[in-house]
Amino acid sequence: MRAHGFGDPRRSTGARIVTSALSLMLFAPILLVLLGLTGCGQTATGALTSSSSAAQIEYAMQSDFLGLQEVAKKYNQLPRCTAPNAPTICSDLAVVTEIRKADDAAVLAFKAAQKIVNDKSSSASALSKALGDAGVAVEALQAILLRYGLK
Amino acid sequence: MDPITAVTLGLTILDGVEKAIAAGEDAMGIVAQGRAILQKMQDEKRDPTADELVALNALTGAEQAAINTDPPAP
Repeated sequence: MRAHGFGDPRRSTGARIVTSALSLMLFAPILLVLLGLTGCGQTATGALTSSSSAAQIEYAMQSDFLGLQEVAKKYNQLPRCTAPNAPTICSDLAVVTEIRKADDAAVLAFKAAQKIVNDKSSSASALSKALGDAGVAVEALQAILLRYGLK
Repeated sequence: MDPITAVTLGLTILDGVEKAIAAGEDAMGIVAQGRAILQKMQDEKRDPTADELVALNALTGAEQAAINTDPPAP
């Protein structure tokens, strides 16, 4: 198959994200306690705890986002499937275009979030919106990578 | 945003990223480095420094530039 490279395509729907978020909201306090007790926070979820600041959360999200960018970069660097003598594992320009759009949006969202988080006069609602927008942007890129089975 | 909601959002994102890149060793290495710095911040009970943010933004920008650059023809 010449399509999109590696792995089995998987679906990531908005509904799954919402369900997952709701589940985490319900179980986050328990999860945080368990992570603290087992000392496995570093591996499973980074170092976020209930006392993490907005700046730490923004940093955690953005540094994890780098991992998604690395996956996206590797896919983009594959020869295009439409190129003459393209290898079996190649990149589809339509997918790359989707990735670029989502990546650009996420980078902008992080710039905005960092500005608001670092402004000590920012309101709680502004912080909430900024971190939420960054989260949505990360999930959009993640959904594309999952949809096409890119790793 | 109350702390639990904010942390929940962060956890959701981190968990999702981990699942998305589970098989990508280079990507996991990058994530592990970021989490190590975050752990240090947590241990020292401080926010990211200006230098740490500059470094993070530089990495994000470099990845963005690479994503927006077409590959050479085979």
